Amino acid sequence: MIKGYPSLSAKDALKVGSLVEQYGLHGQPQSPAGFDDKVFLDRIKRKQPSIDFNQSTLESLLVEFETTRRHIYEDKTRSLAYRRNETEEEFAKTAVLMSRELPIEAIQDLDFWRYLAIFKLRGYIFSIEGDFKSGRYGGHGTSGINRWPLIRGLVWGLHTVEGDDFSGISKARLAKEAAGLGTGVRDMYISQIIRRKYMKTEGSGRAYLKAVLAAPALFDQGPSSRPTQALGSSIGRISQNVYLPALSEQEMTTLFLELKENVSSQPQVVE
Amino acid sequence: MDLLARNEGVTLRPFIGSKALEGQMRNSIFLKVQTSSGNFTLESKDSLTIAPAEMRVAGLSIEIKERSKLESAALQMVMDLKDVDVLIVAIDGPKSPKMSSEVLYRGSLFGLAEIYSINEKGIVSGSDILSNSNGAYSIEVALVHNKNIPSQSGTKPRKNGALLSKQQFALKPFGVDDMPTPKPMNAELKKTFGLTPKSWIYFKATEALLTAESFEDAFDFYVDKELLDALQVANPEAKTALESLLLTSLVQSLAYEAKEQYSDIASSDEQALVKESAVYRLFSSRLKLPAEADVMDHILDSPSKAAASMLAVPEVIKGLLETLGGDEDD
Repeated sequence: MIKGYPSLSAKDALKVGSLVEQYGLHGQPQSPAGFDDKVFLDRIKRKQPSIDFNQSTLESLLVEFETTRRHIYEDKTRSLAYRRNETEEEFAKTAVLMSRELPIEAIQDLDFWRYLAIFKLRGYIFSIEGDFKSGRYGGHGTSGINRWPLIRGLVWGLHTVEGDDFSGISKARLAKEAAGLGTGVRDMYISQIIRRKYMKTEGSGRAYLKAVLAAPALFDQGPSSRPTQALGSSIGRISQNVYLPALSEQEMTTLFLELKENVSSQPQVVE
Repeated sequence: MDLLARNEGVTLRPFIGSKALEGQMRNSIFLKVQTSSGNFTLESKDSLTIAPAEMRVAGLSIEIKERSKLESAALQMVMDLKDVDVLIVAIDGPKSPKMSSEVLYRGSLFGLAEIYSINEKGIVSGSDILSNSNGAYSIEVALVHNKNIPSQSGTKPRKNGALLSKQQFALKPFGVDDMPTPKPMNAELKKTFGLTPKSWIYFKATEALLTAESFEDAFDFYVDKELLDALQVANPEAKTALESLLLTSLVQSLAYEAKEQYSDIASSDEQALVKESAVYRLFSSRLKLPAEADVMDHILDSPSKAAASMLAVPEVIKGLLETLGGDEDD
């Protein structure tokens, strides 16, 4: 156990992150994980010394994630889009486990996530985003945190997992693949389950997934056909009149299914 | 199509009486906040900024006044008051990574006491959201219809969960989001800055003080490392006092440095940039001047007075007085 959890200020994150970005783009493409960060380790500050932080728990979760991530990426028989999607799902699972096994004070502190982004998960971020711009880790403040890949993964997991059942994280992708319609569901998770304000209601993410996947399932098929967006907008409007926290997950599912009846699963023109 | 699935604009108020109930809720439902800096009563849409250390241990309670008027307004919308539930919900602010919410209470409007305690002062809340000292959260009090009734009325709620009306209150830690975090200053740094070993606070503006979009690019604010470490584990009263002291020093330093640098900004292009800067926004939000007033005029006229105005927030003075032994009855 260590007293206090590791953190990195936005300013220090930006300083180191800019160098990581340069390294990734011009030094060793696709592998900024190889960036030598030893001289910057003194920028890591321990916050809240009254809190015991188990670094080995964190390291163990990260090692497991990194092993899985490499395994996914080495399987070149599958498309890059597929592998990126699956890697994000794996991180969502890891982030949920972090939120359960690490102190809540660390999870709620954006400086902890900056530390993770710069010192522990820069290779992952670079691999899914293709760059390491400051907006990926909050180098310029705290705006739009649901666009930081790590926070995005955390929310992806928290809004779809229930207890020990992690299947919600990848349920839509698996269903789409089983239907022979490709693999791209990342935009749906990000635009509907992560960014929608009403999704803060416990159980609403899972209820949305159940409604989307209930037969006939709604699958986006490019910019011209985004029925999941239409359903998300419809829920957004009704959440002004129906107080979602007052409903159980089952009641929300019923409501969302009712709204789904007015959403076409056929391709349509999006203006 | 079901009435509840109407697709009108998001400000739609579908039920007759909703607006009147909202007005009555504003006069009936309050959030009482107890901190070491004093007690506060929040009305609907109020936002209270308190010390980060207080966020986890603040006393929180919902107070109901004019109950009969509230019930009367609700009754205009439903068949029976027994059909109305109250929900008290905590919701993460936009900068809280978990982006979650939590129902703190659900019960009938009848069953809700005049004072409903959400958290006892001095006790760390068991709620992840309420114990967050790093970000804002809001508390909503909503009145909802609690059952489905076989009616085709389009103007009265008839579905379980239909929202009659709600109120929202917000709490936010100062030192977070709108204020920078002090940086630790060790002996080596003091030497580098040319300070004496016993110096414990130091403000260092960058050349971009009045043009940078973030505080971190505008200035550095250092505090003795041992003092900062002690602050992390200090009791809430001591934390409030020291944080207030640091805030005072920072605001005064900012005001004087801003005056100094603004004199060097000649072109109108640069002056336009100032209005987009983080420091200007801070001045503007704390001075609360009329729209037509120029913030920088106040700073240039008297940085001392401007700083005094910016520090004229109740929680600061109450916190200091209470720590010194006064104002305990407030």
